[in-house]
Amino acid sequence: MEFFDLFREDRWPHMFCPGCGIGTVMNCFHRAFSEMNMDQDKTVFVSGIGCASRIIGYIRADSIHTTHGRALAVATGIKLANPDLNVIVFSGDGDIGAIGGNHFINAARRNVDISVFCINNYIYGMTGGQASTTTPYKSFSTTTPYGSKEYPFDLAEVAVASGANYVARWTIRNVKELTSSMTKAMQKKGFSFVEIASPCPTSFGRRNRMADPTQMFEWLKIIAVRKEKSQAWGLDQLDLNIEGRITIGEFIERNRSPYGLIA
Amino acid sequence: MQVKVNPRYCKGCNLCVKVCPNRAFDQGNELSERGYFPPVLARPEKCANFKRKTRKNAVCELCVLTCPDQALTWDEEGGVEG
Repeated sequence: MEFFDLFREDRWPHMFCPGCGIGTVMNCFHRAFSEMNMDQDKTVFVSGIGCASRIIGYIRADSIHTTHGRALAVATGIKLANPDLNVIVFSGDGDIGAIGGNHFINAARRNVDISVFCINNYIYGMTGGQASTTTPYKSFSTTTPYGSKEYPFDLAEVAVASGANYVARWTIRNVKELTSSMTKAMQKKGFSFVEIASPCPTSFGRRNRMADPTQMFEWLKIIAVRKEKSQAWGLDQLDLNIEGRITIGEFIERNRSPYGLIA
Repeated sequence: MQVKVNPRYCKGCNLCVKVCPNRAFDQGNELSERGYFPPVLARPEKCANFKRKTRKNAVCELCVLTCPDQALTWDEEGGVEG
């Protein structure tokens, strides 16, 4: 499958800023989707509000753009109404971590058979750069001009604790691992969650001395620590989060039976 | 084959310059019609896929996968013969 068989060439070039990681996620998703030979007509794309949620508008398949934070609630409904459909959710950190946090925890707890791809850019990019739940400690934004005094939310850890079947986190630098993780997430029965750390040079970078996309790309290399490496260092993820760093890797693979499906 | 830069889609973020392990790209300094500076493939012979003929057996592909604007595609006619 060519890239523009899955995406709509008539709407290209897309609206994302130069250096935004969402385009990379689209590339990796296209690779994963075409490797699996999935049926476009049997797949539903759901998203909420935000930059990341604009992906579904570019996909040549049935998609639904829901209210802010309720993407997972709608996706649960679609999956239960017609279990033959593959349901894929694209969402941002504001959608999944902040306003839809409750839906996220409960969808993972129920283990609904959906795949969630959360593109985390550490800021509310579309509304002008306010601090989000995942903004790193001591970093600047429009609402935290003296540096954020709050500790960030670790979405992948929340998903592990809530009982998701597959959880992974990669940055957009790890394109190969991200592609194979997306394939695994779509094959896995039950709630699978892939968090993608993505640069936002326009809203996050400009206020943190990383206005150039390549500088943000280097920043992702510095903050990301492999899971195995952090275990060897004897640091847990909370310590790393306080330092403003993240762990990357595959966090869990379980085989709990999914909700609403007759096994 | 070699990588082809589409100046209509490129937004000049220069991530391909950064990501290429063999430094095949250089930052461009010619303005495209959309007002960005697309990169140039300065050293195509350094690309890992220079001697490969089809997209199917391409290796690496970091630039094509990373490009957020889908401006990089494989040109199967380009590069060396045989």
